[in-house]
Formats: sequence, C-alpha cells, structure tokens
Amino acid sequence: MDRLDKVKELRVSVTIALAHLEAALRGFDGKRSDGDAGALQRALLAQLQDSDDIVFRRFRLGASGMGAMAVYADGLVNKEDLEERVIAPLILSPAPADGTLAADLVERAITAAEVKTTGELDEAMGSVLAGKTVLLLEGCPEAVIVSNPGAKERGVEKPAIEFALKGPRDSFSESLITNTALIRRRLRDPGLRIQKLRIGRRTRTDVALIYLEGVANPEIVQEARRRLERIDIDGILDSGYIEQLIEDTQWSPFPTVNGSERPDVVVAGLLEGRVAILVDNSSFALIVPATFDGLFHSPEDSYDRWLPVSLLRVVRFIASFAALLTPSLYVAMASYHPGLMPLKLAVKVAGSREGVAFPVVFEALLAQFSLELLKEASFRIPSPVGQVFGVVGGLVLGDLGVRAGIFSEIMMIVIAITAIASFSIPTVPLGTVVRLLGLPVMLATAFLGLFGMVLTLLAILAHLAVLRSFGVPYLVPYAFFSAQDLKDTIPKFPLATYRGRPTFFRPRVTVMQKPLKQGVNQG
Amino acid sequence: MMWINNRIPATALLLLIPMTIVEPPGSTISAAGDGGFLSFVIGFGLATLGAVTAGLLARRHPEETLAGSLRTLFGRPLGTVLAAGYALFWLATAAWLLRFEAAETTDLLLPLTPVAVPMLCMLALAVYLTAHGVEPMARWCFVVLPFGLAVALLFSLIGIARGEPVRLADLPAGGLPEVVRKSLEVAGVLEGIAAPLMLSGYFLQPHRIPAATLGGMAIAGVALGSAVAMVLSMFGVRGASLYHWPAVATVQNVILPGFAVEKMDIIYLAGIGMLGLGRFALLYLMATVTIQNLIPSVPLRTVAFALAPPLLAMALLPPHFDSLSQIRALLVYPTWGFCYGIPLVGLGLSSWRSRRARADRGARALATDSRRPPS
Repeated sequence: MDRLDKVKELRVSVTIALAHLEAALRGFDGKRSDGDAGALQRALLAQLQDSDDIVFRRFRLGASGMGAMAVYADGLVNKEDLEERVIAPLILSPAPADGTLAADLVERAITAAEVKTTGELDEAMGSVLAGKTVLLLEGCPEAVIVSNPGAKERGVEKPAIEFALKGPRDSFSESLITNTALIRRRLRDPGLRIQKLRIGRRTRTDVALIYLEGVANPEIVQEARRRLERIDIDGILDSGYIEQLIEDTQWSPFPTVNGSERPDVVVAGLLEGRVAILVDNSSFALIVPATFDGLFHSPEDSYDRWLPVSLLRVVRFIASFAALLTPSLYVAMASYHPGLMPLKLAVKVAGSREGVAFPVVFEALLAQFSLELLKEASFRIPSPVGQVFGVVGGLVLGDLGVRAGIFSEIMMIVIAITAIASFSIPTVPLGTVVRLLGLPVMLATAFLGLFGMVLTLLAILAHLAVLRSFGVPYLVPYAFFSAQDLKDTIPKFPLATYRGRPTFFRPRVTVMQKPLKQGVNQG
Repeated sequence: MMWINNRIPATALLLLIPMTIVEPPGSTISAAGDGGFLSFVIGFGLATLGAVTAGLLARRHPEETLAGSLRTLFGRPLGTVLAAGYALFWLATAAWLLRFEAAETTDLLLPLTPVAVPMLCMLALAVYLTAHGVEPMARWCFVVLPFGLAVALLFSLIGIARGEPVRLADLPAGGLPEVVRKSLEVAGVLEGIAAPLMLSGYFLQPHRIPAATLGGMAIAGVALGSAVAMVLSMFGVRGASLYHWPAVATVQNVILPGFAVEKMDIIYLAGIGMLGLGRFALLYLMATVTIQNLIPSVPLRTVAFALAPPLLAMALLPPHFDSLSQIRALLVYPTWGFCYGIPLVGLGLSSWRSRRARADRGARALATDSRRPPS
C-alpha cells in the first residue's frame, strides 16, 4: 500500500512539473488546449476580448514567475484597490504550494476582503460582467474571483417620492449591496434572510429575496421564490419589471405588489411577516403581499401619534372618494338629479352652465383631460419652471376656458377639488388608479345617472373583493376581520395597544409586543 | 395557497342574512302594510325560527353542502330532487328580484331607459362575483352592506320622526285573523333566511352558525323593522299597500332644509339599490352553488356563466309590473316549503337519527359489557 501511494504522489508531482514546464515554454497566451484551466481562459478570451471595456491585465507571480491574468470590466472595478490588494501582493508573493495554487493564493497573498475560487465558466464570466475581478493563473484549473467594486454610485439620499415629516431620511440607492445593508442595519435579527437570485438571461441582474425567518409565513416566501424563479426574460432593468412579472393579475388596475424607496417601510413590512424583493440597479423595493388598506398608509404614520394619524387617514380616505367621484357626482346632479342639490346651488349651476357649448359629460371629460395634460406637461418641464407652468397654465386655461364657453365655473371648482384630492392620496399607485377609474365611473354616470355611479362603485368593490395578492385577500382586514387587525387601519390605535402582527399574513410568530408594565410610564 | 379555500367564517352570517332579507323592504311592507306592525313582528318572529332551524341543520352537517345533506337525510333520489327544486326556487326568486329591481330603477330613476339595461348590468356583476366563489361574494357583502344599511336606517329614522309612530299600534279591520294571515305572508317573503342551509359546507367554525344566524336576524330585524315602522307611521295600516313603492314614497316626503323638494329619495334608492343588488347576487350564488353541488365535475365558474341566459329569460317573462306582484304572491308558497318546511323536517330527521344512533351505540356497549366476564 505504501509503495502504491508513493507512486501516485510521484505521478502527481511529475504531472504538475510538466504542466509548469509546458506553460513556461509556451507562455501565457490563453491558447492552451490542455486541461480545465485552458478551457476557462479560452472561453473568457473568446467571449470578452472584443469588448474594449474589458481589461486583460497580464503579470507574473513574483517568486515562481508563473503567468497570471486579471480580467475585469473597466469602470466597474476600483483599480487602485486592485493594484494594492491583488496584483501587488501576487507579484511579490513567494512560490505557491503545489497543487493548491488558487486556494493558496487566496489564503496567503490576496488581501482583498471578499475572495473566492470557482471552476465554473458561467460564474467567472458573470463575475467579470458584474464588476468583479477574475484572476486566471497559469496551470490552475480554477479562477479566483475578487470583489473590489468601483462603479460610480449614487449615495444614500433623501427619499424623492415618499417624503415624510417624521422618521428617517434615507432611501434606497441603485446598489443592491448598499440597499441590503440599509435593511440589515435596521434589523439586527439573525433570522433576517437575504437570498440572492440572478434573473435576466442577458442582464444577469441580482435580485434579493428578503424575509424574516420565523416570522414570515413559509408559504408566502415559497410563493415569492417560485414566482421569481419562473421568470425567464432577457433583461431586468428595474424592480418595475419584476413587479409586473410576479403580480397576481395583469388585468387589474390595482397594484398587488407594494413598492417603497424607504428602508424603514421595508423593515416594517418584514416585521409584519411580509417578503421584500430588492433588485440591483433599482432604488425601489417590492413588498408582498399587498393590501388595499396599505395604499392609504403614509410612511410617517408609524412614527406619529394615533390621533393625528387617524384623522389624516380619514381625510385621505375621503380624498380618494372625492377624487374618484366628484366629477361623476357633478355629472349626475347636473344632468339627471338636480333636486339633489340645495336649491340655491342648483340655480347657480344652471346659471353657470347657460353659456357652455357642450353637454355636461363632455365638459367634464374635457376638463379632466386638461388636468391630466397639465400634470403630465409639468412633470416633463424642468423643475424650476414646472410649478410655475402648472399654476399659470391652469389659471390661463381655466379662465379662458370659462370665458370662451368651454367650461362652466362650477366645473373648474369640481376639477380643482378632484386635483387636490388626488394629490393628497399618499401612494402614487392609488392616485393613478383613482384617476383611471374616474373615467368609467363618469361614463356610467353619464348613461345611467346615480344608478350608474353606484353600479360602477359596486363593481369596483366586487373586483377588490375578488382580488388577491400572493394568496392573501386584497380587502383584508375590512372583511372577516379580527379586532386586532383593525388597530392599524383607517383609525390607528395607540401603539401600546398593539399585541400581535396582522393575522391575515398568517405569521409564524404572532406576538409583536408584550403589554407595558404597570406604572412604567408614570414617572 | 392556504387562503384560497373558498370558505367563510360562520360570523359572515351576521351580514349575509340581512343582505338576503333587507332589500327591498317593499315586499315586506306590502305584506305588513295591510296587517299592521303586529303582523310584521309575528311574521319576522316566524322567520327567525325558520332561520335558526336552517342554522341548526347546517351545524349538524358541517362538511356537507345542501345537496349532500339533503341526500344524507332523505336518501339519494329524493335528496337530489329536492336539491334541484331548491336550485329552481332560488333561480326563480333571483329572476323575480332582478326584474323587480330593474323595474324600480327604470320607474323611479331612469324612465327613458329600457328595463333590460339595468338588468344586464346587475346580472353581469352577479355573474362576475359568483364565478369567483362564495368567499369573495361574502367579502363583498361585508363591505357593501354597512353603506346600504346606514342609508336605509337614516331615512327610516327620519321618516319615523316625521310620521305618527302611534299608528304602529293600529290593527287591520279584519282583526286577528287578518293579522295572522299577513304574518304568514311576511314570513313567506323572507326567503333569505335559508342562507345558513344554502351555504352549508362552506363555513369555518360551524358550531357558531346558530348564534351567528340569530345575530344576523337581529340586524335584519332592526333594519327591516325600522323601514316598516317608517311606512306605517307615515301612511298607516292599508295606506301603505296603496303605493307601488311605499318606502320610496315615504322618503319622497323627507325634505331637508335648503334642498329642492321631493328628491331625497334618490339617495335612499342608491342605498336600497346596493342592498337589492347584493340580495340578487346572493340568490344567484345560491342557485349556482346548489346546481354545482349536484354536478360537482362542472366548475362553479361554468355554472355561473351558463345560468345567466336562462335567468335573464325568466326575468324578462313578466309583461308588466302587476304580473310581478302576482308572481311574488305565488312565490310565498314555495318559500314556505323550501325555507321552513324542508329544513324543519330535515332537522327532525337528523336529530331522530342521531338519537337512534346513540341508542344503538349504548345498546351495543351494554351487550359487550354483559358478554365480558366479571372481574
């Protein structure tokens, strides 16, 4: 047995020596035809050498003079870091141990923080394209992947859309690593799971599935993972792509996936037992399951006292109804049921409509269209001019429209109420949905009066009752509620009264807070 | 996914029962209008007993649908025939209600619109909801009913305050026999009381069904009672039945300060319309579910879509409003049979069988004990 082992050792040593000798004779030109190492190098060169931004930096290891090559994408890698922590130590390194070249270098020479080895071509290729450095060593079948990111990134800035008076002021950026760090910093729980997937055949975008182990229901996590894994698309450029591909139904105007640019909102969702999805190069996180009630919540609701929050939520609720129904109500009252108005108002409406050239419904549609036009134009115009344009455009259009007999004064008030109400809705998707649904409601009202309006409202409610997000009914907790779930709905209860997480997500651990001890808060 | 199980908590009956009963109070008021408030009280009391009977029967067969429990109780052939009868009954009632609601809408709100237009709109909504199953329907009712009830109650209270509540104590000229006859008529128009039985097999926590049924009847009683009280206090006994739409006629007399005259009925109609549409959708669901239980291989969605054309044809059959009233009067008899008679017989059979089974088990246990050698 001893003799056999010795023969085997000798054979291995001879093979390595021969490989080194051959490499020295041929030089490191990437055209080796023997062994795995050659295949890896050839493939990388063949696929990437035509791209001018891919750098192939050749050098030799210090003591042994062995050929090596660093492959990286220019602009995505920190070059100084690469020189200091990778190339310089390698050039100055002592001779590597036989047979364990890659592992040995990783352990002894390279001082970068995140290093690993791989024998897979896909992983090596993906790493170069993802902004990592891949080291190819002569005669070594494995490649060393070094992470030294150097791409220019936007830092952590204030939220651009979900502005809040109270609460943290940071928001997600386009870097997935930064974004997961923002979450990890807030949630120091060992159960926080961040699982990465790569989606997009060509963009190879990193997507992180995040949940709180032991809190989130495994069925929701499983469902989220299943929906992500079934995506097979060329490219994912933003979380919006993922949102559209994993939502429960493509035909509903209501969003069944929530989005947020705020890490605190995501963490709050994770604590409730939801699942978050972050996408590299996207500053918006996705949170599932979504509920209809969640669309009325603003980020600062969690940080403010219960009374003002409750009041504001009632205002938002009324505002969304006002944005949806005010033009339709006007159409219904002006054309079908004038008796619904106080007598003096009915007279005023009739008077103001006297010189108007169009029927009420057409007037309402035109006014609504003008509003959308102004809004869209003010978004496109550079921001210093945008607001002025909006105000001036609105005033001029309104004033001249009334004088020209296109609109009545009452219609201008109706449209102003609609606009203000729609902008007071805290979430952008809900605001969009409300404006979108206002059109069919108005058309139904034009044809069937108040009956049409009620009918379309009931149809919208029916759609909401049917809708689900990742298996959770969209209307929870408004139907089949438990008292506990109603504590954070339109009226918000004091935080001290919260005991459990929302039951409709079926969390694994339901207890969220234990009762405050008696007398603790009384000095 | 675990949430998609198409089951509803038993407490859903708290609102499902009022939804199947409260709208439109016209039928009840017409029945009670001649008999006075006493006939409503007695009739509603009978209906409560009927609802509790249905609830108790549903609790006894928690995992069986209506067709299943009827087959268990009455045997397979008779059970199947009875279940088919139920389906036909719900279909006829739903068709009548669809036409009635549409007639009310076109009569009071849209005089120039053909009656088929609101019918089609309402039917489309009911089919959409029914095709998605029992749970979304119940969820929808939960959200809609409070709005409808709030409007109905508000106007009822205003109407009672404006009327003469002493009229509620009036008795009809025919005396007590007339009261009894009208009581039976009141009970005969409340076919929604069979809801616990119709949705049997879909409830979570079936032990709560009777209590939830009673709660639902209490809510329905308050809403319906206040509507009847409003009309009777305004028009008195017999006066109410002179109107096609007695409740609406009452609300038309409510004039709010500063408003144009006689138009608050539109708001009332909107509220009542919600309840009417909800009731129709529930009746349609019941017919669909019963048929689907008879032919389980066909999906509920298919049945929901397939039932729409025959129901529409049935609803278009009555040539004018008077024939609608006649059909309503005829529907009282099957209501008594399907909503009171069969559940009562079924409950009796079920309890007799379980008692006999207990007695058999006791006798077997006794026989086993007697064979055992003394220790």
